Amino acid sequence: MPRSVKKGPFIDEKLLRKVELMNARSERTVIRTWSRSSTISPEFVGHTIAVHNGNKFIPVYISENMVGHKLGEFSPTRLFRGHGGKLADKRVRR
Amino acid sequence: MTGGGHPPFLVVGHLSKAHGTKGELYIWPLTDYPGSHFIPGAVHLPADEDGENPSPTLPKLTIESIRPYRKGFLARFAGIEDRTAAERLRGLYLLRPFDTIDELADDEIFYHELLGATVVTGDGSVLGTVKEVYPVRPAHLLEVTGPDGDLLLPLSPQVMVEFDRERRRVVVDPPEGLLS
Repeated sequence: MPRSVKKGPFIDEKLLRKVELMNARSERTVIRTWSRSSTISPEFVGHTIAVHNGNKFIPVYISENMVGHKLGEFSPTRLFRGHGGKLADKRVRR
Repeated sequence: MTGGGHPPFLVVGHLSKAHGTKGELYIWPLTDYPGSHFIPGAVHLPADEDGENPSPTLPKLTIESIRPYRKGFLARFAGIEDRTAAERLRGLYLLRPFDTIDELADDEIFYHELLGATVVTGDGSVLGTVKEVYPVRPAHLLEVTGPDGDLLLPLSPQVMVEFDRERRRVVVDPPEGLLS
């Protein structure tokens, strides 16, 4: 069952406070958080948030199309090293 | 490595298991462009578990027919007629010569170019070398090993300023607080 619309999206209070403070000061410092269940709100866009994955903090740059998703979706708890050794035909897009 | 700094062969797939009784094999694709390599008539060079050089003992494998199956492909190779013959190929990697690999787009970088590259900041201080590249959303992650331990950097345009292919250097501009 989805979350009640009346309550609005869940966002960790301390995290939201930090983001709003940084927006007011026009700062762009990385914020560390354990709150994987926080929903990404439009205030987060443009910030880099380091989301804990149970082992380490994964830096996530928040863009507009991530709004409405949870922070934990972008901080995988299992990092797959991949097959094929070092010479697979895999590419990174800048 | 060839003259352009690339290896002579790249891995495009892995023969994970035999499928059925007619010599089909399941291919797990290890390429971003499977449509170029997994087509009838494509010739692949089998490699052992290291996946770096073609096996000197195994013959070239030519795809006779291929169809998509789950997240990979089911292929029949010329000369492989039954499951027993297919089982012998299980676990091998499929290589293709570098000149048959699709050319890089302007904004693309091969994983093997990044692995081992030096990561420096805009002011020239060295953060370490790239140990691993993780394909995660929304941006790939670089695991950098340096004197201060391991570090994760997102490969977003905001962080990765430049990639110097000749010197194998990644210039980054990490936001404040990312390196601490």
